[in-house]
Amino acid sequence: MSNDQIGFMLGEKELIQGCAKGDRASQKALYERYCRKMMVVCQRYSRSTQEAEDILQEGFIKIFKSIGEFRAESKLETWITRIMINTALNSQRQKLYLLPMVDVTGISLPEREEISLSEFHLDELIKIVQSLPDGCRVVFNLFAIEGYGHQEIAKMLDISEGTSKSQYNRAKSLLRAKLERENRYAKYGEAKV
Amino acid sequence: MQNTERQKFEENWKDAFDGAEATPPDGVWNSIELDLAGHESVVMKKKVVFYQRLAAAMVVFALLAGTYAFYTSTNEARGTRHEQSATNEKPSVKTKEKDNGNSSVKMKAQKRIL
Repeated sequence: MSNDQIGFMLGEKELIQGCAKGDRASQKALYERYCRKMMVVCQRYSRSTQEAEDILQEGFIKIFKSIGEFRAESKLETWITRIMINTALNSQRQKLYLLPMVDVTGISLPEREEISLSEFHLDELIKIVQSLPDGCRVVFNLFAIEGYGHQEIAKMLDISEGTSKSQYNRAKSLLRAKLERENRYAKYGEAKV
Repeated sequence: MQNTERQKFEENWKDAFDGAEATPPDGVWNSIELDLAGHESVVMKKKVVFYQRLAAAMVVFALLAGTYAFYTSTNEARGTRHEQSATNEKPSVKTKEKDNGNSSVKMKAQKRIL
């Protein structure tokens, strides 16, 4: 029986205990179980697939080194996702400081019909999110996908609540514009601008 | 209206990524494994160094304890020997004193005779 098969058969508790002991088969099994979901999380926060892979690698190393501290107060997947997000934020933090957040409160968001995202493939959506500026991308992920409030985001990123809101509005308008352009291209074959 | 639209916007994106999966290349696991192996060897090296130092400290402690035990035992032996010799010597002093006493009596008797 291969290590992968053993890992598939192991329960979450056994996996955690094995990883805490430094058992390589358990570590691989845990990685195999969550790497695909975490890859998408990392891709959402990064500019490229290469950067996402680096975050994924760093995140899993942190997970294996600190899994002994996991107290099962939350689901293992939630704990792993939180570590991945923190790793992604740390890798972005320097960029966020280098590129100071600009308040863009003046952006108005006209009411319009939302484009259905089901028409898009996952890779396309990831590319659209990755094309956002660093600050906008991070705030968009934390607010829209992770569900944090602007106050929490402001604390996490050490920015003002107003900056978080304005960055989110900017991300939203950029995403809408990109989706419309992609949608138009897909429907009518218009050249991408 | 704007609020519901806003919520719809977020819900759409959340649903789009909910349970989404992408397979990372094998190289990621290989790099993780290498890093973990490196970390473990560092931990092992630290353990080896710790046990080496512990062993060295124990040897030094054993030597010091042995030396201390040796000196204290020899001192004790010397002390008992000294005490023994002291107890052996005391009667001879008394006899000397006795002798001295006798000789002074003799001297006094000779002076009287003279």
